Parts: sequence; C-alpha cells; structure tokens
Amino acid sequence: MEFRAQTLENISPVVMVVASPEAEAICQSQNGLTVTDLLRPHGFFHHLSVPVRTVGEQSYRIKEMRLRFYEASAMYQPAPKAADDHLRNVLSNAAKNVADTPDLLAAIKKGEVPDALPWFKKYREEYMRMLRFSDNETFDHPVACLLVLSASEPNVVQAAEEMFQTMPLPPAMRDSSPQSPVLRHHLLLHDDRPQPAAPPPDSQPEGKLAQMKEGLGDGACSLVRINSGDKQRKSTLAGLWHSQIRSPVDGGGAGEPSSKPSVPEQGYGAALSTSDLDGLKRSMEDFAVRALIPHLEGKVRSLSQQVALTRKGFKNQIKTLLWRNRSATSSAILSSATSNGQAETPATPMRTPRASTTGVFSSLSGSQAQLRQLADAAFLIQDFETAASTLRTLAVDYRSEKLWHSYASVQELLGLATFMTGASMQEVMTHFKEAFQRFSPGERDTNRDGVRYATRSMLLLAQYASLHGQWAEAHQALMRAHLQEEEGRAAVLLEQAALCLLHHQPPCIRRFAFHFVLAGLRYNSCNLRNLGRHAYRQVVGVYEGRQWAFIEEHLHDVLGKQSKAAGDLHGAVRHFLAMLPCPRSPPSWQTFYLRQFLDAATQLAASCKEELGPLDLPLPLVNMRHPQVFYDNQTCHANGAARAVPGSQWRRLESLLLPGGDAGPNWLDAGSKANLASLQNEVCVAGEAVTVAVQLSNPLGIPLVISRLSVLAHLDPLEEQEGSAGSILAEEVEVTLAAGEAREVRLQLRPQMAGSLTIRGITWTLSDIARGERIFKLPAARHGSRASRDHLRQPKLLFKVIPSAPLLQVDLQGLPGSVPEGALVQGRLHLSSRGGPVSNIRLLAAEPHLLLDLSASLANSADDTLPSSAEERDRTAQAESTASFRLPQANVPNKGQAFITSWGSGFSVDGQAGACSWPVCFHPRLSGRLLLHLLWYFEPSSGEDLKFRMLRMVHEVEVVPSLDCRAQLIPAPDDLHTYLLRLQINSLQEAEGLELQQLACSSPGWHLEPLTSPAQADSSSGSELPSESAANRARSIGSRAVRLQQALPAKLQALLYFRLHPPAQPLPAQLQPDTGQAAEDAAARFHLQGKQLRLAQAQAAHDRQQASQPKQKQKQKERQEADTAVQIQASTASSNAAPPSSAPGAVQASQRWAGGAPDLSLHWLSSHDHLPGTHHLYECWPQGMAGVQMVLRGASDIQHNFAAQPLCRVQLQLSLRNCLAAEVAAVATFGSTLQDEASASWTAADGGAADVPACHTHIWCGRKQAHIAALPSGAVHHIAVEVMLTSEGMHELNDFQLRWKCSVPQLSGTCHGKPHFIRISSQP
Amino acid sequence: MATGTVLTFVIVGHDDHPIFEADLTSRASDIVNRDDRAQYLHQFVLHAALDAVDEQVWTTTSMFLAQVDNFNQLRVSAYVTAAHIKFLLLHDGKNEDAIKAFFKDVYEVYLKVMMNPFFTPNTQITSPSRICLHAKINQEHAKSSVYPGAWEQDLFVKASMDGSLPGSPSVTKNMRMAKQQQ
Repeated sequence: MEFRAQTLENISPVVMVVASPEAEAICQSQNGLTVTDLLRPHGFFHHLSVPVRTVGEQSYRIKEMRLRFYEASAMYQPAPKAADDHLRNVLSNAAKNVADTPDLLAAIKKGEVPDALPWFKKYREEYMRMLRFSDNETFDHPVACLLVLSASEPNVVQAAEEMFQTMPLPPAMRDSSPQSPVLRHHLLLHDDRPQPAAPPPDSQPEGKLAQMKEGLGDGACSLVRINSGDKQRKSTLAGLWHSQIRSPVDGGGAGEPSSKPSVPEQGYGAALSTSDLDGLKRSMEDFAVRALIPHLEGKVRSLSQQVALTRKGFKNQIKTLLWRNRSATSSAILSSATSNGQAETPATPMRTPRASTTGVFSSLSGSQAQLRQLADAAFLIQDFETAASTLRTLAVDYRSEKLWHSYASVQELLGLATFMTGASMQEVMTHFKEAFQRFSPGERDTNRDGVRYATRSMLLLAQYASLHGQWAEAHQALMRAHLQEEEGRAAVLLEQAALCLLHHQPPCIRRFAFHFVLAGLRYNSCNLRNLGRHAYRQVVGVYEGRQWAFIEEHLHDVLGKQSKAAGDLHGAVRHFLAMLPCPRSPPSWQTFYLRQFLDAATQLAASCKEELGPLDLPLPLVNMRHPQVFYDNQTCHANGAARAVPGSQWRRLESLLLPGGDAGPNWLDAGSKANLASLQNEVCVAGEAVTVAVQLSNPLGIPLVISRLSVLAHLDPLEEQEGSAGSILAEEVEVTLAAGEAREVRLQLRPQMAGSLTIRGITWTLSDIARGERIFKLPAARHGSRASRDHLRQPKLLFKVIPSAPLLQVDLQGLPGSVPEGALVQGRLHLSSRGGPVSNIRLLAAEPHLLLDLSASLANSADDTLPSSAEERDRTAQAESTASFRLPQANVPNKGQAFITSWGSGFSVDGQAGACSWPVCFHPRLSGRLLLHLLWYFEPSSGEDLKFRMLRMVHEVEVVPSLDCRAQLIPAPDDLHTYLLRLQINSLQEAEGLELQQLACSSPGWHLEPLTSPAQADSSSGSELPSESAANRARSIGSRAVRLQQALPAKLQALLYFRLHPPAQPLPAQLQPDTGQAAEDAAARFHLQGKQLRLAQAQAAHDRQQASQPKQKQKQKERQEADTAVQIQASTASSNAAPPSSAPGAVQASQRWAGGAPDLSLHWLSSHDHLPGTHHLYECWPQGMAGVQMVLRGASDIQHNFAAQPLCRVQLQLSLRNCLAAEVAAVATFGSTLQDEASASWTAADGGAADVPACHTHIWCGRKQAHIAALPSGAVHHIAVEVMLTSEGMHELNDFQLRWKCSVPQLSGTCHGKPHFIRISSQP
Repeated sequence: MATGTVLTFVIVGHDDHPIFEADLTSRASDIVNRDDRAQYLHQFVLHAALDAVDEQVWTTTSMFLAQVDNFNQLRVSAYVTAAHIKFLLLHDGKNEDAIKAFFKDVYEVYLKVMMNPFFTPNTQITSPSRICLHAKINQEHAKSSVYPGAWEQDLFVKASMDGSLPGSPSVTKNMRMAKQQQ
C-alpha cells in the first residue's frame, strides 16, 4: 500500500458507534457481526468531489474519504502490558506458520527479495492499533456519534434520546468544549427477514424513519435494511470483513470490544444481500458528505477563529507569554497525572467515564490543545497545509515549554503532514527522527512509556523510507528503534532491518546474516523458539563452509538444541554432527558435543522403525583423496617391506629373471577398445587380499573409539551366481585414536569370485553408536603435460578380478634381526603353495649375502638343527641343482648384480603338505641396515589368466660392526721368495668378545706359516695383546691355514705375524675355473663369491673408465699410469704406498706381479652365542717391493790373520729375482762410483779396473758392474762377487745397487742394496 | 559482563575464509578477566564487517581503511591488500595512528609469509609462519600503548540451556545492549 493511502487510512475521521441491544441482536444473530463491524467496509468513499473551504480563501475538493468506526465502549488505549501480550500473540500465531516462509538466500539469488517478512506487516498494523487513542493526539477522538437503533423499537425518538444520555462515553468526549460538539447521527436498522405475520402499519420502518426525522431532524436520520439474504446459503461476502475484523485485546480497548461474537458456520454476513450492502453504503456516504464533512469544515473554521482570537495580535502574544508558564506547570502536572493514571489503569478503565476523575486528555485543554485540535481536524479534512503550519506553531510552543512528549507527538504528525504536502524527504525524515529522539526516554528515566511511541515513529520512518527506496535510512531507523525495545519487538525490528540490507546493491548478505542471528537470539530469549529457529536457519548457508569456527559452532549448537526440543531428531543429529569437529574447543566441550550427538543419534535410532542410513560423520578425519591400494596379481608381495621398495628397482630385477623381458601384456596386445579398457583396469586375483590404506586422524583433544571400520566395495560377478551378495569378505577393524593422533589403517577385503570390483569408500561406527560412511574422492585428472603422470600416480579403485590362481608361499626361517658383520647364520627356507601346485621356480637374490644350497650339503654338514627326512632328501635330489652365479652384465645399469637359483621345470610344490625346505646360509659382509631383496618366479599350474607370477620379498637385517681387520705384507728381508704378513685386528664389538679361530690363505699355491721368532711388537697401544703369546699359540695346520685359538675381548686390538710363501711356479693371477670344487664349506663359497664380485666390480669400473675417456687420450693415460707405477716402486721401502689392488689399474697390476697377491680369510667364533664368522681379505699386495729383489749372501763371521795376509778376501753371492710378470734387463753396480750410474751404459759388456779408494776399508774385486741382459719372470740369477777387507772389525757393505728395466710394460727402477755385515776377528 | 580490552585480529582470504586468527589480549590480567564466549560475538562482528569493507574498499586508494564498522562499542578497522586480502582488527580503542602502524607491520610480515611458493590466498597461516606473525603482533602490542583502558562491552552472555555442562556454550540466552552511541 502506498504510504499516502496508508496515512489517509490511519488518520481519518472517527465515528463512535453506539448501538442499542436490539440493533446488535439483529446484526449479530444472523451475520456474526457487530454493528461496528458491519459498517466498517462501508467507510471508504473514493469517487467523491466535495468542495471544502476551511481557513483560507481557497476552496479545495475532497476526492476520497475514509471513516473509522469504533464502538464507544472500546475507544481507549489498552494497558501496555495487555498490548504487549496481544502483540506477542500475534508473533506466536505467526510462529505456527513459519514453515511456509520462503528461503531468503534462494530469493536473494533469484533477485526477488521480499520487502518484509509475512508477520511483520501484521505486527506493524497491530502495533499501530495498540497506540491509538493516545493522550496527546486528537485525531482518534470521535468526530461524530452514530446511534444505531432497531426499527422495531416502539418509540424510536425517545429511545434515541435515552441512549444518547446513558451511553458510555469515551474519555475524549468528556471535556469536549461546546464550540466543537460531536455530530450526532441516527441509523435505524430494519430486519428485513420475512416475518411470520404481517407487521402493523405503524411499525413499518418507513413510518419509524418519518417519526424519527420529525423528532430529531431531517438530516440526522437514515434507515438501513439488512438480513434480506438467504441465511442458509454460504456467505459470498465474507471477504469484505476479513481484513477489517481485529482480534480483541485482553480487557478491551484499541477500538475493539473485549469479546466478539464467534464466526458463524456460513461465514460473516451470511444473511446480507447485495441490496442490503448497497443501502448501507449509500446511507453512509450520505452521512459523510452531507453531515460529517460540513461538520468538520465548520469545526476547523471555528477552531481557527478561536486560535486567531487567543493567539494572533500583539495583545494575545503578550498574554500567551504571561500565561504560558502557568499553563505549562498545570500541563506538566496533568501530564504526569495522566501517565500515572494510565499505569494504574485497571483492565476496563472506561466503563464509567463520567465518574472518572483522572485527567486524561486534560493536557489538551487550553490554547495549545486548541491548536492541536485544529491541526488534527485540518488533517482529517485533508487540509494539510493548515495542519502543518499549525503543528509548526505548536511545536515551537511545546519546545519552549519543554513538553517533550507532546512535542514529539507533534513532530510525528508534522512528518506525516509535511509528507502529504509534498515536502522533501529530508524534511519528512527529520521530523520523524526528532520525534524518535524526543519520545525516547533518557538513560536515567525510569518511565519508559515513550519507547513505544519512539518505535512507532521509527516504524513510520522505515516504512516511508523503504517505500521511497531509501533502504539505508529504513535500516538505520529500525536499528535505532530496536536498541531500546523489549526482546520480541527488537527481534522483529532486527529482522526487518536485516531485510533492508538485502535491498542494497550489492546485497549486504553478511550483515544481514548477523542481524538475523541477533534476532534469533532475541526470539529465543523470549521463548518464541519457532521464530528463532527460522531466523537461524535462514542464515546457516551464509556461514557454512567459510571456516569461521565459532560462528558455525554457535549456529549448529542453537539449531541442534532447538530441533531436538521441537522433536526434529533428524535435524538435531545433523546439527550436532556439524559441531563435532571443533579442535579449538577445550576437551570438556568436545566431550560434551560428542555425548550430545551420540545421545541424539541413539534417540533417533530408537524412534525410527527401520535402520538408519549411514551419516556423513566428520570424525575421524579421513583422507579420502589419497587412499593407497595394495593388491597382488601377476606380481605378489610377501610382506609390507617388499611394497615399500620402489617398483623400478623390482622391475630391474625382474628383467634379469624373466627370459625374454616378458613384462605382461601392453596396450599393443589389446586389439580392441574393450580389451584395452580391461587392460587399463587393475587386476587382482579372487581369494587374495586387496589392502586399502587410509589415513585417519583425530583432530580433537579426546580419544575416539572407532569400531567396525571396513572398506565399502561392490563386486559385479562375471556370471550371475547364487549368493553373490556375500562375494566380498571385508575385514572389520577396531581403532582407538588418541587425542590428536594420526594413523594409517590398512583394511583388507577379499573378492571371492571373478568379476569387476569397485572400491567405493569406507564405513565405520563411532563409539559403537553412529555409523558413518565416506566415499573416496580422487582428484580429477588434470589436463596438460603433467596430466598423464598424475593419472599414473593415482590409485585405481576399479579392479578386474580374475579367477584364483596358485600362489607360492615362502618362509625364510632363522634369520635374526641383528647379526655381527661377517657372521655366518644358518637358516632354513620353506617353500609351499596355496591354491594348487606351482612349478618352474626360480629365485633371484639381489644381494650376495644369502647362499642357498640346493644339494643340501650344508644340511648334512650342519648339526641337528636342520632336520631332513628321507622324503625331503629325495625331493631335493630330484630338484635339478643348477645353482649358479650370474655375473653382472655390462648392459645392466646401476651396478646390477643378481644371483639366480633355479629349481628346474620338473620340480613343483603343491600345497602345504608338499612343502620343501632347504638350508640357507646368511653371511653379511657390510655393516649397517641391510635389505635382502628376493624375487621369486613361479608358474601356476592352473589359472589361464596368469602364465607366471612373481613374488617379491624383502628381509631387513641390522648388521653391527664386529672386526676391523687389516693385513700388511712386506717382502722378507732375508729371502727372495717369502713375505712377512702383519695382521692387525681391532674388535669393534661393544660388549661381546670374539675368539679368533684360524687364518687361512685361499690363493692356490700360497702357503702360510706362523713366525716362530717373536716379531717386533708395536707397543704403542696399551690395549693390545702380547704378540708373543699370540705367536706361540698360532699353530700351523697344514700349509694353507694357521689355527689361532686366541680370545679377543671387546674393544681390544691384536697383532699377528706370519710368513707367506708364494707359489713355487708363477701362476697366472686370474680366476681359477675350478675354484668351486675347492670350496669346502659355506665360508669358502662366500669367500669365492666375494672374490668373483671383486673382480667383476674392478672390471666394470675399468670398463666404465675406458668408455668414458676419449680414445685419443687413452695412450697418454696409460703412459702416465706406468710412470706413476715406476715412481711408486722406485721409492724406498719405508714408503707407505697404497696397495696396487686399490689403484685404478688393479687388473694390470695383478698381471704385472709374478706371484699375484694372496687372499686371506680370518675365521672367528662369537663368544656369546658361538656364532661362527669370517672376515675376508682379498689381494693383499706387498708394500715397498721393487720389480727385482736382490739379496747379498755370504760368510758373515770370518777369522783372518792380517799379519800373514794383509787383505782378507771374502767370496759373496748377489742373488737377484725378477718379481715382475715380464722379462727384465738389470745392471748391478758395486763400489762408490755411484755417480757414474747416470752415464752407465746398458750395453757395455765390461767395466774398467776399479780404483781403490783410500778411505774404504773394503774393496770390491773384479767387475764393477754386472749386466744381466734378460732375466725371465720369476727367475733367480746369482752373481758371484768378491770383496777385499783390510782390517778387523765389523764391516758394512752397502755400496751396491741394481738398476732394472722392463720393456713391456715399460717399467724401470733402481734398488739399493740392503747392508750386509761382515765381522772379521784376528786369527790367533 | 566482562571488562577488558578487546583486540581480535583476523586475516580474511578470498571467499570470506579466515586464514589467520589471533586474540591479542595476551596480557595475563586480560586473559583471566576475559569471557571466552565473547569470541562468538567477535567473529560475528568481524564477519559482518566484511560487507562494510567491500563497500569502502573502492572509495579510497589507500590500503588502510580506518574504522569501517562498529557494533556497540566494538570497532572494526580494516586494511586491504592489493590482492584483496583483508586484515581486520576488532578493538574498543580509538588510536587510529597506532592501528595504522600496526597494520603496516603486519603487512610486512604477511608479505614474508606470502613469499612461500606453496602459499595461496586461502592457505591457513599456521606454524611456523603463524608463530612469526604472532610474535610480531605481540611485540607491536607490547611496544605501543595503542589500546588504552578498558571499556564496558556487551558480549554474548551465554547460558547453558540445560545446564548439563557447566559453562557449556549453548544458547546465548541474553544479550544486553547498551544504547548505541550516536
């Protein structure tokens, strides 16, 4: 409705209706309407054209006019409490239909925001009605009094007079001044029902009317016939009254009596016909046009004149000023009396208005009252200019007298009047705001009556602003109003203010939501829970998913509890569920929330007949985007550690094991699209476990008990079979997650038949009450370069289940978790199968630490820990023992090495009964964490889909350091052939000691013997053992090994000395082809294996080096190597050159030396658990060794008679041995002419005669140089020399040296002679 | 009714997601006196202020928007980065210069957090960047007497509906409002 029309309706002339009981009876008995109600729809005249001239000279025409009809007994304001109760009932009734309200968020999206909530309009109307008949306003005072009499009254004139005298007057009429008497009009009501008997002629209504006109005046009477319609028929006119009839207030007042007739069955106005209503309307219009408007016109004129008399002119102004103070005082007293009287007013205060002594309306007496009456009357007759100017004058008066309540009332009406005169919006709104401010009580004011009027002015302002598009003003007005209002009204105002925010561009949805929450809070606090719930539900969508934790918690808390109280258990569970993930709340709250949710869920389950569906439980947190799925198909995994190894590493090993690189079908084999699709699905085997690993975490500070956790999956069988429902066995797990714990849980399921398997999600039960379910949501494949890679990395949840196939089961027993480095551990390998026989078994071990003896020789040689039945031996014998080492191939990248054992095609394992076992020996030679990668290849006998299968195994062993063993080999100083070995053994064990058992030399032809004479012990270390006793204890056993029998406690050091005899004949230092036969036990085999590996590694390193260097640099490099070697070998014996085996050219070096280098193995026994162990020392190259060794031998103690013979001639022999693998030429030089060595000619056959130096006590005789043109490899050459000694005593012969040269490879060197001592004593 | 200084700082990313929240009343006396339930009201006020921020951000070229909204005596000051990340500070003091300086410092710390290549405008800022931010904020807070005095403030006074758990955050039973200062 337009604001103007509404203003005209609200402020229109009031007609006081006084009906005789007979008239009421005529109306009510047939129609269910009081006389007032009957008249109300006929108080609107819209096609008038009545000329009116009030104050000014100009006349105007009234085009439309409304009349308000009130019963005389109900024309007073109800008590505030009764009014509040009535308004609260309005809201309660609205709350019953709250479910019909539209969803505001959806409306916002559509752009159809409602102007107001449905109950707001009704509430506003009722609120305005409750404030009518106020003390300060006269526009609710009756302008006319309508006396309604029944036409059946015998003497209508007398009856009318009596009625007028005895009618209960409203307070407004009590002090009505004689200048403005109330217009009196009479209405004769005739019951037009067909009468059983014809009425007498003098009782005809026309006669009564004539009688009345005669007695009361011609224009003051009219006749209306009613009840001419058919009462039995359902009323068609009931709609006329629906908007007019208001529910009564407790105690009456506000224009309605305290009780109303009940609604008849046929509806309101059933007995009224159209002609009745036409007659009624006609007579009312006559009354308005002919009586009421002229009356009002006259009233305005007379009031205006009175005002002019009392206020205009200088004299009157002086008088006004003089009298103002006195009247202000009296007004203030009366005003306060009014408010007090109102507060103490009983429920029916106006029953006896004449007897009332309270000063209601008293403030309207005097000149200001006249002004107010003038303004109101002018407003009623639509002379808004007069009204506005009068109100302005009045406002100035009230303001100067500080009568703020009256002033505010004037401002409010002034706002309306200025609006009607077409003033600016700003001016209108200023008046309303001023009214609000003046109505509002101060903070210290205990009398809060003004609040209601303040709210009314803000409601008017909001309505005015919103109807003119000023939503911000409307919002502001409503917000200001709500701040001082009681809960229910504040909530309504807040809601309306929030709606105003939605009309912003863009809509302020977040502030709207906040206002609604505040409104909901206020509704809840005044027990209007339905409306509160409605407000909350409207805005949940604004906050949901925005991660404002406190907000969401609050909303769901309130909504959950209200839903539960309202009996909506589904809603309660939903809201309590949403509150569960609250990691910031203290644990006591979290416990409370959980309990609250579980209680609601329990109640819901109890109330529901059928089982509840799963909930979308937010606890625990489950990573649904990245589940991990483990399954076996062609490739099987024996343990979790095997899955942890990267697939690429396994594939590299598989390529070594598979004959033709057969890695299963690829997309080229697919042929058709359908086949390709089936290839792209993952394949698993019926009856074998598919494991899904999900990450669960508990965000709360309290433990969570999760039971019946299992995978949700669906299996479509290939062919329809009976009982396919139970075709998946899903394992159920119970987990308790501690506070804040995150854990990976592995869930198994086993498809029982072939078909298509889909893994959907997981399901669980929280605290044994609430069942939850989540579906996996894999991230969508991205487009672009990384898309394909992402796709490959994603887990597959769609499987093709193939029929079950036999599976090899391997059990490796006896491997401890932690062993000392070098230990030899005996274990046992059990092979069995599940689901049928498997054949053609092959084993690939990626590491050299495990030795499998298919011939079971270990089993025989070992003690009784390895039981072997006769049957088993037979089976073992049948197995084709083709154990062999496969050396790394040059084309296998990343130092690939593998050891393959094959059982042959004739061997098969069938089930548990046909299990076989073999001894296994484990010998770790590196310390640290050791992973044993074992890859099994086998061929299932049944199952068409799988030609072969691979089983991956990983064993993890912690290897702790045990010994640090170092050997040092030097040529024996007194011998051309043998070497001295110094063995330094450090125990690295933390606590346990060891017993050194024996030292063995495995190189062919080499011999070992302990040094009999005590060697020079290195006494620098205090912790070392006395080497003498060690040497004494060492006993030679045979020529290959020396038994030691020496205990080595933890953290101590031992030094051992041996003499090594190289082979008599030089043997090629290459791998012996038949060394396998020499391997007598596992240690020897491991030793040999290590040797092979070492050679292979050296070869591979050499090959790599060759390949990496450009060819043109190759020769230069070789030359440099040769030079380096010469420099090393030409250095003195004390130099600690690195052993040649560690040099890059180890292979060349091994070919260079004649005897090669010996390999040693040290056997020991752990003193704690008597675990045997072996350390291997490969290629102990001698240090400080020249290419050609030489020793000067001869007599060392000589008796000579110098008196008889001045010179003593001693025969000596210089022995040379070529230690190189090639032929050398050598030159031996004697004497002190070493400076000539540079010019010495290799080709000179003889040297000249030697000059005898005077200073020497010895002289070399004969040749000074000896040339050996060719000394073959390993050959020994003797040169006889003589020396002359001139005196007694000890002589040291060291002035001789040897230079040698080798052509292929190009090597040369010089070795100085070791001193030879000769002692000469005089012969007696 | 709780008395004490209100200081709640929030960084709001895109789509109204709070990516960092901090209650800066870290002084011991404040924590003892403060009603934790006030956090509910504070979040509502901050969230509602986003509308005002969106409105005002286009009216100025400055990133500091000063006070954008108020609710009773709670004021919301805002600072909007070029990428429309909003820093909101709920306070009951009036020292605008200090608040501006505080925002500027926080912006510098935020830039450092943003340099993390894995950071997106909706990433929750957590430890250790969070610690870094916290430290900075607290330091600023301690350094300047930005937020003087304690005002009476109206808060959500929460009362348990069923009383089953003492102090349980159930329905806000009553919310007393002081007359809005004009």
